[in-house]
Amino acid sequence: MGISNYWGLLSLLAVPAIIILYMLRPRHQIREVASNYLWQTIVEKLEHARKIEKLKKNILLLLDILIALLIAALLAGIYLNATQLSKHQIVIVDASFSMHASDVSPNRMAKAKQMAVDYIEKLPVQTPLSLLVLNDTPSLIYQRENNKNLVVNAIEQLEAGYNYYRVDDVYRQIELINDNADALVVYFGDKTIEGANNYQVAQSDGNVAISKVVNKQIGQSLSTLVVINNQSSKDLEVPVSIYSDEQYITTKSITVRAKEQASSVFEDLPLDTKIVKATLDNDDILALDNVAYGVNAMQDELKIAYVSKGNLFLEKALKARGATHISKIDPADYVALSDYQLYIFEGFVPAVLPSGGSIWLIDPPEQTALDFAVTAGYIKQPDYQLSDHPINRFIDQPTFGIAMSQVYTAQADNQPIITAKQGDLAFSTALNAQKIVVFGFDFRYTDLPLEIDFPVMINNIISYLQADDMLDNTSFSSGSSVPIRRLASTEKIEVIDPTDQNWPLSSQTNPVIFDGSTALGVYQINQYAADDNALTTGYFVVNPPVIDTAEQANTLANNGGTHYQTKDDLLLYLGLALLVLLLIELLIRCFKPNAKWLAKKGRVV
Amino acid sequence: MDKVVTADYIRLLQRVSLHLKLTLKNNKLGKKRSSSKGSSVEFSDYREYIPGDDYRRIDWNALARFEKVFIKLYMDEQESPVTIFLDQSRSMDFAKKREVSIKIAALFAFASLADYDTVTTVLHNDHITERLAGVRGSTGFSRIVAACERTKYSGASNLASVIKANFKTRSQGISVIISDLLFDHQLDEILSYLHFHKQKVIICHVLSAEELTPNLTAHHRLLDSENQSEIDVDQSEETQQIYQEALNHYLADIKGHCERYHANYFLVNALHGAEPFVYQLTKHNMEKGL
Repeated sequence: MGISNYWGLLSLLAVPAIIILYMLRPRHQIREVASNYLWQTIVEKLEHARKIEKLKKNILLLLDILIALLIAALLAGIYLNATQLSKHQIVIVDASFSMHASDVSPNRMAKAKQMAVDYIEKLPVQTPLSLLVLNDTPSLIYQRENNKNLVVNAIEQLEAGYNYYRVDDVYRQIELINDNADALVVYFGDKTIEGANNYQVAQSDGNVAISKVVNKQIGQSLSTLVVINNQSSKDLEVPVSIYSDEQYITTKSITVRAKEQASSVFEDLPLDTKIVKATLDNDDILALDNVAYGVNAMQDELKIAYVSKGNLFLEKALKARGATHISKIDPADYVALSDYQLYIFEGFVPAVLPSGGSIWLIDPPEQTALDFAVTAGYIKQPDYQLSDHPINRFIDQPTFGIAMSQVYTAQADNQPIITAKQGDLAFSTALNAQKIVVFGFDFRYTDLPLEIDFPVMINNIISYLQADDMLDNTSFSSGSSVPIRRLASTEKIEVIDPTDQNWPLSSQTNPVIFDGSTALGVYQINQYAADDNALTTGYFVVNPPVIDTAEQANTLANNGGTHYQTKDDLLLYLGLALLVLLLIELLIRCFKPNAKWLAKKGRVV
Repeated sequence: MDKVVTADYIRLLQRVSLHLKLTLKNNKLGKKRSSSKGSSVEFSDYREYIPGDDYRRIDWNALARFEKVFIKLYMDEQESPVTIFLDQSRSMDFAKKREVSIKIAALFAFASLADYDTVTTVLHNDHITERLAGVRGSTGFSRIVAACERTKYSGASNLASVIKANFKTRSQGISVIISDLLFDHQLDEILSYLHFHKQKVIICHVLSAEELTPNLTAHHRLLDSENQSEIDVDQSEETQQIYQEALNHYLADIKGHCERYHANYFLVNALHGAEPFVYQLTKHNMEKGL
């Protein structure tokens, strides 16, 4: 049993006051009458009536005391935790991006921390506590910790992050912690966790965010696509301004329907723009996601070494992608290659694979021994399925047929792309940070080149094999590992973050991994030669996270989920009990026995 | 003591007394014509006709001679000695019971004296406090009223012993009992005794509104004005109901006794004063006779 407001207990003074009032209540007023003659004939019956009155009075006194106690309990904000005395409690504090919102003072994060600390401090000593913090992933800070102070200190140190978590990960983590299924789960944040006692801090859903800024060079100008996400429950018209390297260009008003997103293209930006900044000029509860950046990569052409006897379909598909330079090499003329970003070997595998860049093997000779693939030979017209590999993105219902394909035995590190019941027909793997994709069939033995899916799949493959190349992916979420391609003559790399902090990167690997991408904004990468001569300057940006549909459905805006509050529930029950008691008292006070009732009781002459 | 019988009230009595006949014999000729014509009916006097008199008693000879309408009065109609028993115990001095009871006594006295009857007034509580016997004529009325008004109300009532003390011989007459009967009235015994003494009995039962419908505004300790006994009564609907049942039972018991001995019974609510009763009695007399 706990008490929220000890001052409320002062109302208990009403109990002795009620008893005294009942005791001091005047019993009988003396009144002279002409004669008691008639009254004396009914003394016995009056005694019966008086007994009923006394009983009524006693019941009413009891009811009045109960009502006073209930009112005291309500005023004191009493709540039950006796049943939770030794119960394991999983305290979840949401520290995701939306907790920066300032719809409550000073912000949701501070409010949630305060509520969590207040809650824990009211718990009995030695209550086992687990602390789960939700940022990009659920992080278990303490498990079954009996020292409340440690947990409270950890909560007080929390800061809202710049990511969103996946709700499924939270449930999975809760299941892992709550191994005996006896824990009470308590959530403090702006969303709801099903099955938990949710302490909600959000008071408004009025947020609009820039979810994407994408630049595209078209001819001799630059176009920028800006996507606006309206998370509020009403249609809005928002002004969006565009800056080219911090120089104001233009402003557009964009209408976004409630809970939907809208996009707009800003054209004719200067081609030499390095960074495009988009801003929402309206104030809302979350200012951090009102600014987003896009890098105009101005990258060199993608250099592809294509070692094949010739495949017209593939060559055309590669060229159609644009910004690519394809060096076609006959396998008979093959010598060790380097300085290509992508090596495509079709029907041929060199004795030693190139050490740099990514590799795509198409129908490698069956007898070739590969460290990462074990072939089980060819199968004809396999009944295949596509996995959820990124290479299969946008290909929902494959209709192409495969006449013949090698089948590979599944390996632990391999990710299947196309599978059949005999094994994998295509898969991806990694070898010393080198991405490798293997297709067990020649595209010429399929009708895939005739399908609309063909260029989509080729584009997906190239994008996948390029993905770790910084210059081809310039937008990251907060906390992501950012791969930076080291140039051949680079001796020193440094990253300057949005707070102007300098991060020297000394690793000699290629790519170099940068792990300091916490702050939102523009990061600058400088590469230097041995004599400290600047070789190149690049950029990448860390933009606000985009809340996914599932997450958004879990926010206050759609807060139709379970909402438990043990304390409030108890107060509700107490309030209901109070109402019932008041009703009973009213009925007793109004109760007047009628003649029929008296006759039944044998008290009528 | 306050003057109860006012000039207005006397004027009222003058008006209604002409219609109020207190006779031992039923003088409604339509009903009793054959028996009333016997030789025992002795002519006594004339008086002028007033509206409401039985036109069959008009003396047509007198009309022819004097051109005025006279009706004949007979001796048996005059000889109806009336005895008024007025309860002056302490309980009769509550609410308007004193005023109403004196006015009722005045009504019967006035009507009797107007009909040349003799009136005996017995003022009593548990014994006879004053007795005005054989009063006649209009001057007697003021004596009776004065006696009623000056008497102090005290003690308890004992009607049975008072009545027994009053009648020494068996001579027919009319007895009017004015009381609240809030005591062990022994009414059956009283009526039997009066019947034996050839008395036609009229009981005027005067109760206050409080006695008819007690208004319990709180829990009360009721103090009896006569014997100082106390009784605790709780304020409740049930108490009210029990009292009402007891009152109904009590009144039904009294009415039962009256019916058995052919006594006239009138329940008078003192709250409304004596005047409604005056009209009620007159109407009753005209319709059913007393």
